[in-house]
Amino acid sequence: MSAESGVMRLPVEVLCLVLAHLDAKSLQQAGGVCRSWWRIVSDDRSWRLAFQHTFTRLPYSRITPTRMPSRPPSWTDSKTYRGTSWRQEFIDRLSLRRSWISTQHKRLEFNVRASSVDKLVVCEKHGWALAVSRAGGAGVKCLPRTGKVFARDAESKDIVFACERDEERRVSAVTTRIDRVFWGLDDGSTTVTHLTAHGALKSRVVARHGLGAPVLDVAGPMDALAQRVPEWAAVYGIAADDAAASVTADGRLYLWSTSTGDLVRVLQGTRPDVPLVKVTWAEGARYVVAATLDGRILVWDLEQVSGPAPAMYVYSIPGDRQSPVVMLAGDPFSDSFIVATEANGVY
Amino acid sequence: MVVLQSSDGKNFTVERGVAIQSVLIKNLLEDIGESDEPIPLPNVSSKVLEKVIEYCEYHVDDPSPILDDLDEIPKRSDDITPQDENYMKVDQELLFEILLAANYMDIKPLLELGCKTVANMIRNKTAQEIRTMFNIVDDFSPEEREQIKKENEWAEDH
Repeated sequence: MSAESGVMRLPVEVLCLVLAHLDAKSLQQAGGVCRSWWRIVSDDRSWRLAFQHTFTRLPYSRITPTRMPSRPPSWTDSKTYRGTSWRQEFIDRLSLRRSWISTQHKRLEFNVRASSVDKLVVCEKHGWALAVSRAGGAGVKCLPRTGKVFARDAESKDIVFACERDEERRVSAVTTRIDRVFWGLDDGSTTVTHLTAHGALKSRVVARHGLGAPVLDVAGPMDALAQRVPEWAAVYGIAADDAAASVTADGRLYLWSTSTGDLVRVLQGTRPDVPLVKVTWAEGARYVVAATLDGRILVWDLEQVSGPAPAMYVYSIPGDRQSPVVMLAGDPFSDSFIVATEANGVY
Repeated sequence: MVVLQSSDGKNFTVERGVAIQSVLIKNLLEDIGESDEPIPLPNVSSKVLEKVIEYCEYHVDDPSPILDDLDEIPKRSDDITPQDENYMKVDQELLFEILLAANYMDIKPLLELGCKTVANMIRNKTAQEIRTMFNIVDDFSPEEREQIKKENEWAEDH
């Protein structure tokens, strides 16, 4: 054909390279140009490349179901074809990203006293997200896709996890699991808010240290604990997924039982005048890891130490001693944990 | 020096460093050794070859990219240098000819540059706008068109 367009003379592999530079929306539009472009866009590899382009790399794990499609896509069943396609992964991630933005937006509408969302968990099983604000002292259930806050009606009184507050105490730390929220208060006590079996909201003080030192971070019980049933939990007489840890500004780490509120252990940090700012668990509940304001990482092996023992291992961040640690996360897949300091270093 | 011959029989004499940016020519030279014989490029016209050589002369001192990793490099289309952008200011027909030549001669940075340029033309345009721009015939049946419309619905709630 003499009137053939120049772009149509490009071989398929070159056209693929061109389309790989597009974002999802443009790629979708390109698929509607003509049959040969549609065939390329229908190929999931195009979406994989577009995914890389938008998110700069492939994800650690997929959020789309991992089952394989029983049939390849065709005109007739493309509506039902979801499977593990990168297209679906892409669309889901974009929706999720939108929801994070809109959740924050809705949150502000919902409670004007809230300033920001500090923690967000998405419950994939039940299809809702829980956004928790420290400044607002409240958590709210919302739809992860739309960010819409669930309507408050007679059936669901449990939409909001609110911390009981008074003028004296302020929420200084918060952490959350999908069914409960832990609040660290600046008088040193910790409160958990959770749902009862009847769906009613219940809030109670689970740990009252009463030492006047604000709680700076709370590590809730890990879901993995129930499976591991670590020895130390038996030794100290509490159920495995019942343990929580909090750190305070006077440099101490508290382990307590979430069901009874009993204080189980007190661990002493480096010095009383150096606050512990972050806490997390590692390897199930065997190790508890805390970070100090002056950029050091303390690790306790709970199977080996007893009493208010000093940390088993102390790691200093090289060249960054005075920089406060702002984020601490255990990596369950390796024996390492990730630390981010205020000076922008990640270790 | 290496002599390249275009499809219309025109000879271009270039430095070796310029010529071997084309993996096709690099492999060829390694196979046949140094030779004064012109290397025929039957798929590339003199107009296009001149343009391709212009690019290779510009980029003769660039560090050679790790070509095998091309798939893993995050694709970015907004990092075209002003010099390259200027180079790509050609009419559509020549642009596609350059793409074809870069693909045939295996000059990955030029191919990548061309792809980015075309992608930038496509981005944020509707299917109809793309068809108009490139003079592409809409060959979908009404049923197929309806199907695509359904598929695209997710994008419209942005």
